[in-house]
Amino acid sequence: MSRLRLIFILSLIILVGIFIAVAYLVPSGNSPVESRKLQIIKGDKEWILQCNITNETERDVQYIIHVIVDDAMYKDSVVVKPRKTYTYIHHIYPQQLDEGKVTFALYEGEKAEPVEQATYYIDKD
Amino acid sequence: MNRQKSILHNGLALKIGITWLCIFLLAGFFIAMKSNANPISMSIIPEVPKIGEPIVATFKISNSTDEPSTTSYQLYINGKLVESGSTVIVPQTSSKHQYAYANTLERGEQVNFVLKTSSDRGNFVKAVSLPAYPPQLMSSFVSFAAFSTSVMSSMISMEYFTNIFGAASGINTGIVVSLVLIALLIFLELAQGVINNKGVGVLVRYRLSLRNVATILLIIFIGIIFTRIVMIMAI
Repeated sequence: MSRLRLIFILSLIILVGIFIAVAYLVPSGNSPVESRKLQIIKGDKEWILQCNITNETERDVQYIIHVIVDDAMYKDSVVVKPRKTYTYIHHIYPQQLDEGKVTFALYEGEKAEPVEQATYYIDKD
Repeated sequence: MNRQKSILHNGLALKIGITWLCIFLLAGFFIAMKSNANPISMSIIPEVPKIGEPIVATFKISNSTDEPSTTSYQLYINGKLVESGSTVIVPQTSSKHQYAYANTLERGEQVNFVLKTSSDRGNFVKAVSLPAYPPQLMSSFVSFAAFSTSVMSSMISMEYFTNIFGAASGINTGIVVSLVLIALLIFLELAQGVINNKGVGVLVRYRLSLRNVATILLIIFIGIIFTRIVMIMAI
């Protein structure tokens, strides 16, 4: 077999390899599992803050939730079973708002830093 | 004998050249697709909001690595900061955020959403406008595309272009057309060498038919590229 023919066959093997890589390794659009979902929705009379907390671990986990509406602070805690989801809902009424700054913080277990922290700047009207 | 050997040598050299051209094209495509794998995505519904109707902005921050990742983010609507925060995402999961409010803008006015994120994987920005394109531009391109492909009933929204020709999914019509076109062009080139040497009748007929197919695909391909460029410029 001549040298050129060998190079041609090797080139074809590389080409097939790249074809397979393109077919299997290019991102397919399958999104990763959703571990948390945080929503703020403007209703007719109030804003609704909703958080889906999923415990991805194999043990019970305590979550502590802080919601600060301007200067007022609301605290809640919940224990979520393994592989289960808990939905937390908090209503924010216009009369509670002054500056319009709403902060949500979610603490997981003994961790000092929140695993989820969001600040919303919402209008009173 | 020597002449035949020389022709064979030249033919092989040409085949190697074409094969390596394909390798470079495919490798370039592969690298481009991998580098475009964005950890943030954002969608807004509805695409054409009416006054008083709710607009829901949804953005997702993913962590496809094997280490927990902390991402800080800011969401702006028409330049105004409406949400900021940080999220710790466990490996191979994502965190989804939704901001829903009532639209106060008149029909036809554009509303712009910008999401900025920052993490140890780098800084990312995602911008979405509603409506996505100025109405005049959108209608002219949709009319042209709908007329040329005879599917006027379905080609009426930006979502159609994004799904069919966009880079949102791994394999789409644009990529399939490109790959078929590359394969046809390779065939035409390879067949030329064989025909010159031996004059195979069947191959000549195939080559002539496929040349027409390649021309049509090339026109479609150029159309896709042209539409894409104009849409990118319009954002």
